[in-house]
Amino acid sequence: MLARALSQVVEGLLLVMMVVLCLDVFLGVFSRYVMARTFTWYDEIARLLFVWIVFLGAAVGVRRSAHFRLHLVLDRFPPGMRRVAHVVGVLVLMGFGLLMIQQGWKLVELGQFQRTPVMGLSKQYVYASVPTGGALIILYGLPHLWRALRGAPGPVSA
Amino acid sequence: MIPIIAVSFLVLLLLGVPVAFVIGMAGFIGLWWSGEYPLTVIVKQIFEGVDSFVLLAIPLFILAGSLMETGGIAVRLVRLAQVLVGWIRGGLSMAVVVAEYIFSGISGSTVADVSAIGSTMIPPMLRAGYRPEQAVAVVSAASAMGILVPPCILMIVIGSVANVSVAALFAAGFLPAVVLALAIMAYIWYDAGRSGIEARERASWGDIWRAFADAVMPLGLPAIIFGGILGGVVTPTEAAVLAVIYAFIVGVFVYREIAWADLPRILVQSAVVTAAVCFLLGTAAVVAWVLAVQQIPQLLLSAMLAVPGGNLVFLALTALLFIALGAVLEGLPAVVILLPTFMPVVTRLGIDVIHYSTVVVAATGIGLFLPPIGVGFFIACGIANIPGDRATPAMMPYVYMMCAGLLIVILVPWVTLVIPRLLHLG
Repeated sequence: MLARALSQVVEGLLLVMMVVLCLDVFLGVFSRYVMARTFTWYDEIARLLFVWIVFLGAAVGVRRSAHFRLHLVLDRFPPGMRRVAHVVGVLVLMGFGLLMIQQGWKLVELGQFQRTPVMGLSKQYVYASVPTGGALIILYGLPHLWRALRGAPGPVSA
Repeated sequence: MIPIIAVSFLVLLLLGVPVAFVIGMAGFIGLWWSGEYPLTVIVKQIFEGVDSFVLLAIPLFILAGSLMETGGIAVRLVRLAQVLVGWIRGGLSMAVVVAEYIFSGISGSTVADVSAIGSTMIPPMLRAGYRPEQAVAVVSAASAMGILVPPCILMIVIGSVANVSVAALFAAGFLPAVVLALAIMAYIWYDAGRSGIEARERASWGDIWRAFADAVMPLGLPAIIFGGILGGVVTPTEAAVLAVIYAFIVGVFVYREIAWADLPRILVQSAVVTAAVCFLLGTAAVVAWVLAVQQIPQLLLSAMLAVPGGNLVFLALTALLFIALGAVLEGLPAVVILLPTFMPVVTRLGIDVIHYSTVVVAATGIGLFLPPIGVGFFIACGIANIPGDRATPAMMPYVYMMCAGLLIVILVPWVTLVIPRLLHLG
């Protein structure tokens, strides 16, 4: 229940950010060619949205098994080994999520002394995308871990 | 540090861990083992690999492509291609190649191309008497060629990691794509003669006109993208947002093939596909950074300068390497890790950066469809519902023909460079 509600929030955020990204870049083009003066803030907003889309989207990609993986060798493993490989695989994902939280947090702390050049926005808001993405990767990894431990068939993806 | 990274990379890759995490984790293990650098380098490099204005074109092109990838568009383009080349021997296959050339000009993703063209063309080809493995081979070869037709996500990534003009890379792709297409079509012609597939009747001018009129809306999109970028009016990112708006209007208001209720799903899916590509790019930047601080580019440079044959040997080795890596790793991480490493060699040998990048793109395209493990080839087999090893013998002649085409692209830099130079982009 809680997991589903969280997913809806995250996917809703992705949706809104994609729409705002399109509008923002369009406004940038519009200001440059139609109004003959460029909005200086548009590329800063676009990049802020883009990094958030990437790190939240990467986490949703874990949930949907959308990340590219090499499964050809794995498919030839005997079932027992395949199960171990799945568990190890999910643990690696979650371990990397942990790394993103831990090291990403240091980045956020550094960010309090930095501001974006045009809008003067604290870089903490930009860097926060990294630990947030890491936390979501761990959360979305949990159901995969549960299935891998029970020996359910692994994720199907490209 | 490098051997540790290489070993952890291989082990995790074979265990079936997603490639983005394989690369990131291998980089982490290497840095942690050496203990020479702060681990914050990892997130810092991932972040900086992702935070770039050039890359913004990726979500926008992916979104424009998925708005245009509704069934109606592919069908209209295929019909146009059929009236144009359907009367030649092997016409239906010829039409696949031409349709894919145009369709690639809409979609930035090769994997999306093979799904769209494959599901539109493979059933009619089977009905027309083609064997399934023939249909798979033609669709795979055409899609491999299509990676060279802009917009192309890989070119945007190269623009970002190697600091090359994306507009120039886009312009550079057109003619090499024609060379590969002709190589493919030559074999189609020969093969159709051998298996006795009859040509269709030549379409009347009226039919051609009707097919054109019908396809004018989908053709508007490449017109915007190429006109805008190649004319130097807009940057690729800006052209991409115009493409999104055009595709949105065509899909929702003109053709009405996209319901408003479908839009959230399309937008979120585009975000996830973008994230999968760009997150991989970020983690690959970690390993690229490690290679750089370990002076690997310098080592490679002195090694390559000692190899006889110079430029041609280097280009040929590059092509072989990226064909192999394109098959195993889907190309993208190899480009992010290796291109910054190779670039000093490229400039030192006096090879044009645009020419070199185009060779890398073409080789990656062939790799994506290299039997038996190329991911694109796999998708095509899935659409025709045949096992990969059955389609492999039918595919190999096309692989050889495309390699021959690639050799021409390597030997004659003019093919790649003439358009960017005419447009003053290179």
